[in-house]
Amino acid sequence: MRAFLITLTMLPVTALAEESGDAVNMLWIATAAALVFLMQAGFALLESGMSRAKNSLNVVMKNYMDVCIGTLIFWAVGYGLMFGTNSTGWFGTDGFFINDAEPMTWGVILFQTMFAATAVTIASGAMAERTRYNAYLVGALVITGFIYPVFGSWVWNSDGWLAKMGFIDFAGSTVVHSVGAWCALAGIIVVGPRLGRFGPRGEPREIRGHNLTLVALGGFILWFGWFGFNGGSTLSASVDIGLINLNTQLAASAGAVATVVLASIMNRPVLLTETINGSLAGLVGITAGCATMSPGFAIVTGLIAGVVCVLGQQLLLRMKLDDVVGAVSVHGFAGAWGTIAAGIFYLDDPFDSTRILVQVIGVISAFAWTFLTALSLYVLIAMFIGLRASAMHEQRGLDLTEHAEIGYPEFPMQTAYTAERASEMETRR
Amino acid sequence: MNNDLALRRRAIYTGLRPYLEEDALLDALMHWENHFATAPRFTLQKFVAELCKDGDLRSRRADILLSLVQALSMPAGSLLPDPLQHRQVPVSMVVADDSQAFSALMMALFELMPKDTQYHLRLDMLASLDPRKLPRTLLIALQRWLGDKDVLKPVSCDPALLRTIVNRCYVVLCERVGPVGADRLLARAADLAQQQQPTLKRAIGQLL
Repeated sequence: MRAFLITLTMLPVTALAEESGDAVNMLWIATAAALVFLMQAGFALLESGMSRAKNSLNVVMKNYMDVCIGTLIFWAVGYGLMFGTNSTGWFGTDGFFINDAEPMTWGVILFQTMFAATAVTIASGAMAERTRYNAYLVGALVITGFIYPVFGSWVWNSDGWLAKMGFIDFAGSTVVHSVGAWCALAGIIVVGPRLGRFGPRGEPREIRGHNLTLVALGGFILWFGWFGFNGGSTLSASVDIGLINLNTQLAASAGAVATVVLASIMNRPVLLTETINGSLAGLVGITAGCATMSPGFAIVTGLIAGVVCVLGQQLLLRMKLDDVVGAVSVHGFAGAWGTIAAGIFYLDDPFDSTRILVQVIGVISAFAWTFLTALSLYVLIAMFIGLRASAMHEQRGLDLTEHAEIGYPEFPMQTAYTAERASEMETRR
Repeated sequence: MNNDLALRRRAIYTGLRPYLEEDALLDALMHWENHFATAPRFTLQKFVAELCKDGDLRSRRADILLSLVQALSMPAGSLLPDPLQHRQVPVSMVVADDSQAFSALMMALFELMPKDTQYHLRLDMLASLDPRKLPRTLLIALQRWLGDKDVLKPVSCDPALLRTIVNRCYVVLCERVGPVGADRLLARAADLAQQQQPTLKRAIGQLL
């Protein structure tokens, strides 16, 4: 012990401090990455709960495989495209299949991999209940390996063209959430609404989720994971995490409150799904500016995000777009608002028109790039692989047709596909 | 009696052979067996009229009728072999189960619907029946049932095709009452059909 202490005193103090600082930073990044990973469970619960029982497993499977495929493809090409040497400002050109790097880089890759998986999994809920499993996974692969990292390189690569303009998106309101949502929007346009979702005069028909407790639990888990998502984006264990996560908490609460107040004003019932989506919209909204906004403005950002989410969902229904979980309004519309809000409510210099303009340019470029590439992607998938599940598969449910399983074999439910019939069907597939 | 039916079936097969492709020929043969086999001989004209309602056969109606009359007068040794002879027993048993299950399921489905939904669904289903994709016998049975609200007579048919029609009905139902209502109706119809025809439990499951 004595010898150890003597040796310790002989080490240069700065080097020791640096090393221990790196270790603490790495500890925080790894913890935050684990928290962001947990968000996948939140998405799975939320999306599964909002789907009908006959499709509940299929949605979970898509979430599960999003992480697996996303992890592999992001390590292989995504990270390089996003964070590699970016001489043009448009995409990285090295760092592919990375096997040799500084210790801190491994933590960053892990953390960014979770972000990529978050972006891609947003589409699964929107396109649930009528999208073929394999076709969906092909889409997920291209989004994680190409669409997401290319846009990410514009913003989070220090040489990206939007980064150089001063675009602010601290933890990814646009880079992660809007990109995921615009992919989802393209997906739901190409795949079309579920059978009978809209009546003969275009009126939307209610298709309720099978388990709202799962939805609530998913909402809580997502909220919990968001502390890692926003707080971890410091990429170091700094004192800034306090403000960041306080803003995160305030905006989420404000988003939920906004939906409740709005429902009361509009004389509509206060729906659990809408309330949870409101809190998620608040979380998405604050993600861009959580590090550069005062708590008061975080509340304003969350409140408006909640309203944007509700109105956005109604807009989509008027356009006869069937988004099962409301992902486009939660992640897309609220994300766009939050990104602009990050410019409007910038801590040291609020309401600066130049900064706001840069934010608007970033939001528009995200939409243009993501929506057009994702639309092309899904059209190609529809043409060559087939994106839409057949009517027979929609009748039986994708759990049975895609996975030969049913979610609740022992529960008596109003379904033609009981466990007994399902087991006979498996043999004839 | 059975021998007589088999002989007459061979005669109809022989008479129609020069005019129809194999699939159409078997469809026509089943149609004859389901609707004309036990009818008086003069109904042969009606059978030919139904057969020649559309397409190229219209102009050859007289030739077909003559060919059939001649075939029915031929000695047994001159007739072509019975195309259904080898698969007659097993096929008829399996197909009959599926067909009966199909009838039971479809009728249960309609029975459970409110009257106005039933009316609209009949029209929607009638409009969606594609004569090019359905065997004549099944098409006629469905048209009669949907049009006259008569019972749906079981018709020998490929189970996969029957499943497709159940699915078509489900799609139309989704458009009419929404997917949640369609799921519930289908579930209740399957249960009701199973209660009414317990022996067809497996066959009903195969149609879903």
